[in-house]
Order: sequence, then structure tokens, then C-alpha cells
Amino acid sequence: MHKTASRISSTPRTEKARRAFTLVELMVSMALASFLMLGVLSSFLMMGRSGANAQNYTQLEAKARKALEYFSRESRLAYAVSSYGASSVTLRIPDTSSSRTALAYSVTYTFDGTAGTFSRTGPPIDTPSGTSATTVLLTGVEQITGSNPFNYYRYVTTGYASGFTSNTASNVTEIKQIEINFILKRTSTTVASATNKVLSARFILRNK
Amino acid sequence: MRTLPHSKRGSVLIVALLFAGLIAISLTSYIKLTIMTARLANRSFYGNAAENLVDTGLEQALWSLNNSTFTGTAGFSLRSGYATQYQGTFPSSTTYYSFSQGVKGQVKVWVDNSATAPHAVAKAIITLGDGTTLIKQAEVYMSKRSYFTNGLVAKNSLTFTGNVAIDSWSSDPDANAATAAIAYSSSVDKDAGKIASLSVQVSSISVGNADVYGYAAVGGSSADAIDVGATGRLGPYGTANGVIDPTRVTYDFTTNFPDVTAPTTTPTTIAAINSNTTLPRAVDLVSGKTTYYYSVPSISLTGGDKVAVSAGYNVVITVTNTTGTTVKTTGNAEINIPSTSTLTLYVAGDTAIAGNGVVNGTSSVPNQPIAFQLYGTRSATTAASVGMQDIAIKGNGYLAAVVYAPNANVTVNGNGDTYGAIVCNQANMVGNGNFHYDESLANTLSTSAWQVSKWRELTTSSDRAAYSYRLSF
Repeated sequence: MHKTASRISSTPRTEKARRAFTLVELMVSMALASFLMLGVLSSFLMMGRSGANAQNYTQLEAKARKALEYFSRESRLAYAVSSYGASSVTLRIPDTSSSRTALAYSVTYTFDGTAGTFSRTGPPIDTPSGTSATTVLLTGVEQITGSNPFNYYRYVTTGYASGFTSNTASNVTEIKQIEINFILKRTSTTVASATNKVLSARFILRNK
Repeated sequence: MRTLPHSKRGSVLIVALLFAGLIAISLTSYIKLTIMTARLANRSFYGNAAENLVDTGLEQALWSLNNSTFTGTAGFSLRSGYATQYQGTFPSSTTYYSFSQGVKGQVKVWVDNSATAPHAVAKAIITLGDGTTLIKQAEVYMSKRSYFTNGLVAKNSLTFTGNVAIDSWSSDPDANAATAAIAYSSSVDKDAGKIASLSVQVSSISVGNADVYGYAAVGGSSADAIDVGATGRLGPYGTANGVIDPTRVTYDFTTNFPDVTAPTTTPTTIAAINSNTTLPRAVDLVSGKTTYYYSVPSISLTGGDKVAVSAGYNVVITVTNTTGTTVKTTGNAEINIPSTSTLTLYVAGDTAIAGNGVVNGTSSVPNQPIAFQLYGTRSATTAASVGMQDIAIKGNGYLAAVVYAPNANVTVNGNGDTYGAIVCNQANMVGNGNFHYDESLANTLSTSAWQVSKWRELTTSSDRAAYSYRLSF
């Protein structure tokens, strides 16, 4: 009896289980699933976007620091400026002797707004006797509106503290400081937004 | 309640775990990137601190050189086995400069004071909070400051009257007094005559119709600070009339004009010189001695009187009277310095050397300008109360001289050329004689103060290896 009752009571459940979902069930479940997936995907995309930006920023930081390190090292060491302009400067670097003006090599730093590059032309920085070559230190560089990539300043006993702009150098003899200004940009491939970094630093030509 | 088939049970959990895993990986990467960026920024920040620390060490070396004190409170000790090399750790071998967040730093300095160009190397070690270290190294070479890095320098105005030319040459290009000096000629002249004025006034440098083949520097930023006449010029050879080459002018000139004092060597005191005198006097001669110091109240020569330095001797005269005209020559009187001798005058009063003036060399071949040095010793304090010293000087056919008189108004007369350098309060170049700056004076006639002549960061392993054993203390 118990066995029969069991069979009788189980038959309707089996049939019901085999029936398809109703339209309402489907719509409700799909809506819920969509909301769930939307939330998960949004979070995932946001994290992906943040991760990509973070990676870009880290890469930017590393490359910018390296480029600045190169430029700062050689500008501090330079004993003369051979030529200069709004987008490039050529420095004369002394050798390892006690002489301040014994030339080891010349090096040129160039900002190319069209190509979006900041490059160095000279022998390898750690091998002054090496062959001169052009190395792109940074890509994705842009000029800051209203500001030259390279600016030059002279030394004045008064005025550094109150107004740098009045100390602009007008010839190679006067140049005592070099300032670089530009934007370094990376565009994430997954999203429309980009990572920007403004580079602005000023270096004293210690041997000049 | 409806249940999922056995085969589908746990699939939601797996999907959830997968998502969670992906999120965890993303978060971990994000955090690692952030940490890396923070670490980079931190190292960069303390890298700058290390540079400052290196400079602190090099400053210690420069201070010790200028004060001739290395040991004791100066913080250095003699390097074992070397008589002129010193080493020191700052703030000390057991203490550190404290930075924020548990960061600390020390700088080790090695100094070689044996050469004419003393040499110092500093190594800064910054220990970060996590125990890692940052090391920066740099070296400097030092040289003596010179009063004469420019040919004609005035605190105030610098005026040329006459159709003169200013250029340069080097009488001692190898900076070796033992080799023969180079006389000025058209084959060694250069368009590197340097004139400068500290003044910020209009026409600080009045070139007039002079041809300045070289450089000019003024303290004021106004273009009116330099005045060039219609037939004057300032620039390299070939500069057109009335033109100032902008690449040869700087508007940022600044310098110190330290007072100068007579040497401390005890002089032989003699009476005022009013007649023919030969120095050193016969009674003062000592075998093997070539430099003689004299103290005299005044020098006043007239007619054909002559003060002559004997050949082969160096004479230093301190004129002790400080007011009135204390050195004066008129008529055909002269101060004569033969080709193998030198004369150095320290004068606090006014000076009027006219007549035949100073004959530094033969009548046609000048000595090196350094053979006749005239120092105006009136101090800035005295000049502020009693006025500037007046120095008027001329040569006979030419004037070869070095004049340092920061509190004197100097007038150079005559139509002969002037060779050497002049530093003064105000300069008037009168006559049609040209001025030839002797560039060697920037190296051979120095003050007692040391300055950094070259700075170099040691970045490569070979650069650092060259000094590693000297800094391993």
C-alpha cells in the first residue's frame, strides 16, 4: 500500500518535471540572470579598465622616470650647450678627466610632436666611446598647449624665487637651466579613456 | 521544490568561483601594479635625497679645503698610508641623517689634496624602511678662484672713449710658467675679449666707437645696458658697424669683489721713494733669494727719476700711506720692470702713474702682464666713508699690467695698447690704444679660495669601481 501510494504520488511530479518552463518563468529567470550578469560584467569591465589604466600608468611612470633620468644626468653634467631650440637641445658632455671642458661626446634630445616621440641621439649613455645612434625614449608625447617642450633659463642673483619667467636665456652662453614640458599619453585599448602624465622638470647645468 | 539534475548541480558555484578567481587575479595584479608604482615613486623621491646627501659630502670637502682643516671637528681623518688623502663619514660612522618613515642616510667622502686640482668623491647611502639601499656617487675637482676670468670688469660703469679694439690672447696657454710666454700678435689674437659690468644702469658698458671682439656681460636685463656707437661693434670678428651680436651678450652677470689686503710676509721698511731707486737694494740681497718685500710710505717720482727692479728678482711693495696720492710719477719718470722680473704694488691711496709710466718689459716688447700687478687695497667699508680710490695709470708705448682694485675708479691713459686685465669699481679707457685681455690670467693668478671646477655623477660600474677601494671604510 505504501508502495502503491508512493508510485501514485510520484507520477505527477515526474510529468511536471518533464514539462518545459513557462514563458513567465523564462522571462523572470532571464531578467534576473541578465541583471546578475550585467552587474558581474560591469564590475569585471571596470576592473579590466582600471587594470589597463594602472598598467599603462605604471609603464608611463617607468618610461618617464628613465627618460628624465637620462636627461637629468646629462644636462647636469653638460659644460656647454651647442645648439638649442623649442623642441631640441644639444649638450656637450665632458670626459672623465679633471678638465671641465674636455669633450667626451655630444648628445641631442629631440621632441617630435608630429611623431609623438622624445628621443636621444648620442652614444650609449654608459658607453661614451660607443657609436652615436638615435633612441626613442618615449612615445605618445604631446606638446602642452602654450608651452614649448624645452625652455631655457639664465642665472640671476635675484628673481629665482619670485619670477622664473624673467630669467629666460636668450643665447647659449646664458643658459644655466633647461626645463622640459610635455604630456605623455597612453590610450587604453579596451576603453575610450586614456592615461595622461604631464612631465615638467628643470635641471641646472652644473658644469656650465 | 524543483531540483537540478545531478549533472548540473554545482555549476553555479563553479561559475561563481571562476568569476571570483578572475576578480581576485585582477585585484592582485592591480594591487601589485599599484605597489610597484608606489615603490618606484618612493625610490625616486629618496634618489633625490641621495643626490642632496652626495652634495652635502662634497660641500664638507670644499669647506675643509677652503679652511685648510680636515681633521678634528671638520670630520675627516688622514687616510692610512697617504699624506694628503683624507676620508670621512658624515654625520659620523655611527650616526645617520634621519629622513621620514624610518629612512636614514650616511655619506662617505674621500679627498685627495695632493694636486693643484684637489679631488673629492662622495658616496651617499640611503637605507629605506624595508632595508633596501639607494646609493649615489659623485666626484668634484676643485680649482682656485680667479679675479681675472674677464678682461675688464667694473662694479659700475665701463666706458671706452676712442676708436679702440678689444680682443684677447693667452700669454701662457699651457699654464706652465716654465715654458716661454707667448707675446700678443695678430697670429695668436682671438675674438674672446671679455668685458663686464655689474651695474644695472642704462649704458653700464659704453662701447662708443670701440670694436669689442669678444663678449660682454652686464648685471641689468635691459638691452640699453650696453651702448654701441655707429662705428662701434660687439661680437666676433666680422661683426658689422653698430651691431651687438646677441649671442655674445649676457644680461645675468654677477660676481663678488672681495677686498684685497697686503701680504702678511714681514716686509723691509724703507723711506719714501723720491728719487732713483733700484730694488731689491744691494744691502738686502741674500744669496738664492729672489723675492723681496718692502714697505714704503709713498712713491713720488719726477723728472727722469726711475724705480727699477733688478733683473731676475720679484719685488713686492706695500705703500703704507692711505690718503692722498701715494704713488705718483710725472715728467719722464718711470717704473721699470725688465723682462725677467716682476713688481707687485699694494696701494690704498690714490695712484697717478704718468710721465713715462710703467715700462713692463723692453721699450718694444712687453712682458707678460702678470709681471706688473697693482692691487688697490682700500676696503669697501673705507670707500663708503671716504670715497673711492683713484688710480690713473699709463704705459710708455704700451701698458702691460694686471690691476685689481675693487674700490677704485681706474683710468687708463695713453695711445699705446694695454695688455692684461683690470677689475675695479669704475673703468675709463681713454685714448686710442687697444685692449688685449690675457686669458691665461684666469688660470695663473688666483685667489686663495677654492671652487668646484668640475662635477660629475658616477653612474657606471666602471666609474664607481675606480673609487670603491678609497671609499671602503
